Amino acid sequence: MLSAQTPSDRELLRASTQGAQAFGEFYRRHERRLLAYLVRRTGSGELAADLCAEAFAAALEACRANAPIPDVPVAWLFGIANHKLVDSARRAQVEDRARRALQMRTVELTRGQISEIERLCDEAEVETLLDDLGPAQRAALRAHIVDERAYCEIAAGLRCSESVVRKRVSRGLAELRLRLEEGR
Amino acid sequence: MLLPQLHDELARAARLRPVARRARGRAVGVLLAALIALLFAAPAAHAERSLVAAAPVVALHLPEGT
Repeated sequence: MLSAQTPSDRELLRASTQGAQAFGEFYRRHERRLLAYLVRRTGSGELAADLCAEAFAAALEACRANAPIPDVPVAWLFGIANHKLVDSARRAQVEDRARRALQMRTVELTRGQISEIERLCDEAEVETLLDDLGPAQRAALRAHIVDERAYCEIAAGLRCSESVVRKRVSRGLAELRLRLEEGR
Repeated sequence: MLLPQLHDELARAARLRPVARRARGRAVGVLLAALIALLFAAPAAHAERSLVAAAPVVALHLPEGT
């Protein structure tokens, strides 16, 4: 059930199991931010849109399969997108498994849309959000969420204990969630 | 929104998914029923074949006059 006020991302994902409307809202909220991130990583508007579609399809598939709702859905979504990006780079082809599983049709892009996505490179909203965090939190968050490195590996690299890294990631996510909710 | 067509396609997929799952569930049900039928049919057929094959041997060992 969605709250009367603006629903949180977690509420939207929970409601997505019952219908299309809540996931549509989740998409509208994070589409621009995810495209900005992907176009910065790939340098191509077309590739960014392709990866964005696959990431949202995988997120929807997880919701429909009643997977546990993540604590910070936006970080989860970026994690999926990053995973797809790494996989696609390795195979030299953007994966479309989730879209096929959902029987989604290919989204045809106009030239205008591609240029608009490519212009997002300059906005760099995600990077700005990360940059606003303290350097320790930013490094821990980037290493664990974006690069998907294990806590023990990050701790070894930073020469600190695993619990310190966990604390930094958790505080960074809480901070990020607060900023995203304030900026909505 | 930059890609409204992707939004619409996701919405369509979200609506279609349970239907696809039900259809797949039905197909799996039919397949399971066929497999169970085969499993039960196989021992019966085997028993029939064994009886036919054993018939001359049984005849050979019957006591005289029967």
